[in-house]
Amino acid sequence: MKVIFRWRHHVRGMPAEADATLAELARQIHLPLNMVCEGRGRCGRCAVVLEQGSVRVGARIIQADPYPVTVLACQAYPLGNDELVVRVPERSLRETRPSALTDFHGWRPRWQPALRVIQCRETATPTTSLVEHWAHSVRQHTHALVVDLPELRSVPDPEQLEADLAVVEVSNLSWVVGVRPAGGVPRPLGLAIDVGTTTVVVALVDLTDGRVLGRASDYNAQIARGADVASRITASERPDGLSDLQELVVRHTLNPLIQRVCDQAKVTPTDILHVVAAGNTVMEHLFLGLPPSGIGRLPFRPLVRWPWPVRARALGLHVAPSAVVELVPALSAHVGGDLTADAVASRLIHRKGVYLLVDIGTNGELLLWDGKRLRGCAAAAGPAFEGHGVTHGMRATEGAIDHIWFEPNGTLTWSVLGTSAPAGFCGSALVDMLAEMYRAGWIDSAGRFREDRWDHAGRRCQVPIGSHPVAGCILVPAEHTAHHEPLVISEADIAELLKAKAAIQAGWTTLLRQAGISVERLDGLILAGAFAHHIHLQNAIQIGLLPPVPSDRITVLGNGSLAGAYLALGSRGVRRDWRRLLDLIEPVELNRCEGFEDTYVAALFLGDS
Amino acid sequence: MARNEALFNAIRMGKRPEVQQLVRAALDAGASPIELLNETMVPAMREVGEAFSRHQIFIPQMLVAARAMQAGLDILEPLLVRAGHQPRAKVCIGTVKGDLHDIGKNLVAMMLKGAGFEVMDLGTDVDVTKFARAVELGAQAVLMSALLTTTMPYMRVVTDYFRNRGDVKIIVGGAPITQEYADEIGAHGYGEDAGQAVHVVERCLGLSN
Repeated sequence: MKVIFRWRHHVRGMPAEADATLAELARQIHLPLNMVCEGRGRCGRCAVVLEQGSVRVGARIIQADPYPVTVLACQAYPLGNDELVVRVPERSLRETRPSALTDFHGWRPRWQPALRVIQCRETATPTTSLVEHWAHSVRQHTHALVVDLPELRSVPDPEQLEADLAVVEVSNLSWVVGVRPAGGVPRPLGLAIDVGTTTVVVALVDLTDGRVLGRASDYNAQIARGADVASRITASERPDGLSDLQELVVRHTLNPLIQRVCDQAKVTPTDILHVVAAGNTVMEHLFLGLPPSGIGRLPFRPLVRWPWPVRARALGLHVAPSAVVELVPALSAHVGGDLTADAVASRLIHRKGVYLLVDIGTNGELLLWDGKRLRGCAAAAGPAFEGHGVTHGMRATEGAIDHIWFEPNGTLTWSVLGTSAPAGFCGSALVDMLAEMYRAGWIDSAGRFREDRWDHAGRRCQVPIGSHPVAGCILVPAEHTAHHEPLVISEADIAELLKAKAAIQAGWTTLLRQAGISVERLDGLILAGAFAHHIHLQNAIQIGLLPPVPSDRITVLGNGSLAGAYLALGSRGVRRDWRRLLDLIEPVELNRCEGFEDTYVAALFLGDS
Repeated sequence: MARNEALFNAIRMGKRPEVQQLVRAALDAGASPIELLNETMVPAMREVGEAFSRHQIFIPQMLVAARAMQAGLDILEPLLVRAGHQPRAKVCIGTVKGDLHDIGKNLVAMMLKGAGFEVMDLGTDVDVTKFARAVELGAQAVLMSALLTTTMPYMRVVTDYFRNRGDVKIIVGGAPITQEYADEIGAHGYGEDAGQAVHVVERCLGLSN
């Protein structure tokens, strides 16, 4: 038995064993198959096209004859003596690098970094020890000096009073992060990190003036242990799981990124003296190697919200070993440091009026500020808007259709990321699709096709799910696509998207209701995250994903997580905002709110019902 | 009594106010609550469940249909009790300890009520003591739901507790649950979605429709 895999411009044949799935065979030849659910047959990301031969899926035998068929590689076992030909479409391949949002906007404070370089000079009065001499030099700025043992052991010259001392002044202490001979401290660097569940982004910062010297991003290597935070918590509870996850994010994700961004800027990683990271509560726990178990189940209690600063060497982070690493504090189990960072970057609690902050990632996280009180919640949107669970969904990467719309003459048109032929739809196109199809009357408020409106164009098709076909609509004909097969949307896809949008919509609707505020009273909407950066806001409002707020009152932050981490490097006052946010937050547990289910069910529909 | 077509369709289409109106009208006109349930409402819900399994309708429509059914049952239930109606079986259902997600669990509960079962809904964050109490009160099956991979291990605790109770069937479901997991913890049944829930319960309790 032999299997031939075809993907991108590769063709590889290999002997097959009957007891190995196509996915296991693909792994042996390092084919980058997308396996979000770790081969449980749940996520549908490993769909491959069987062009020749037959496979067994459960008890069923599936043959390529007379037509090629789509099967899940993780569920399909090669069968028979014929040669199998398996084509792996682009959307079922892992991209080697994500297209993460590395840009941010928002508040720019006067640059007043937490790191200072202090020149220690000979004094006329004798001092009793070198450290006391340093403390004396620093004292005009603050009161207590923290020197860790390895730093002290490596003092360049123990008899020399003249030295340059780099200190990070946070938590009412002066943390010595570098001691150099006088005039020897090179340009001090800082690092801002956005630790996302899916992607990790770093920004290298010149601490003297706040210039961003470089940015880099990559997938969080923890993806190998599951796609969402709940599966990471489960993974952390296995033997050695916690240290494994901590190493995956620090050694396998961040350290290569730090090297890359430093190479680009022609600096050395050991000149990075201050690091600030922001992420959701689970990611922050795992970054520090802390057990996140309490976050995963009632009463949803994290181990810590505002962790004490740590030294880089304690984490294995490849920057200056004594560099101070801070985490932007999490507000609750479900409203993480990423939202604290968004709130700081958007000056949320300094605003007068009623503002809603929405950060849409794999989960939606929401903050509502009414001028006095701050409520926050998480909405389990799931990954549909990241393309998962949607027939031709894919991430926002090369070849993804990012927008679709009707021209005035009624033809359906699209735009594609990059220069390739279209291979699938990313989240922003899926939002357009719902809005445009509803406006055009192609779907009704329940997301069901009104085929009389479009069938004449020869768009009707069927998408098999298990043994039952589902009604589908061809949006992009085969001749335009990367794989010469039409790109379709099915009623099942639309139902998935409606569930995702309903989760977010029910989230902000419930928050507003808890606060007793009608949607008309919103003074503004603040959007964070890559998804919000790419969507057509009017379409998102049309489908109910976002509340109806005039465009001129919507602020798009970009990567607010990174922005908030960056601001903490450049403004010591930011930590007062953290404290206030921690004191103000009132976490709202949506499932416990009166009427949440009614709100969710109503949000499953399009239009004003 | 023949099927009440208007009510049948109102349930299928999920028209909640209409369902309540039609149930009241039928009762006012002298219809028997038991017949109304068995001849019209149960078949309507069965139709909804089957359409869902055939991918002809999806979660949004099934949810509104089930909620319309529930609205009708709210009126009917006291009358059924008075009329001495015997449910097909008595089951209990709950979202396991540590988990608050209940929309899927509520849907399953409504589908079962719509199929003529008496359902004791124990709510969310349900521990083994509460399930045991429901069994003491006559529940023949324990249905458990979890939406988080972090809370699903509690299903094993409950399954282990009832391990030696041959008369209690354990049935599990929820987004992260698979047939393999159900087998691994020794559950008697697994429902992949709310459409299958009724069939699974019927099969486990040896009932046929």
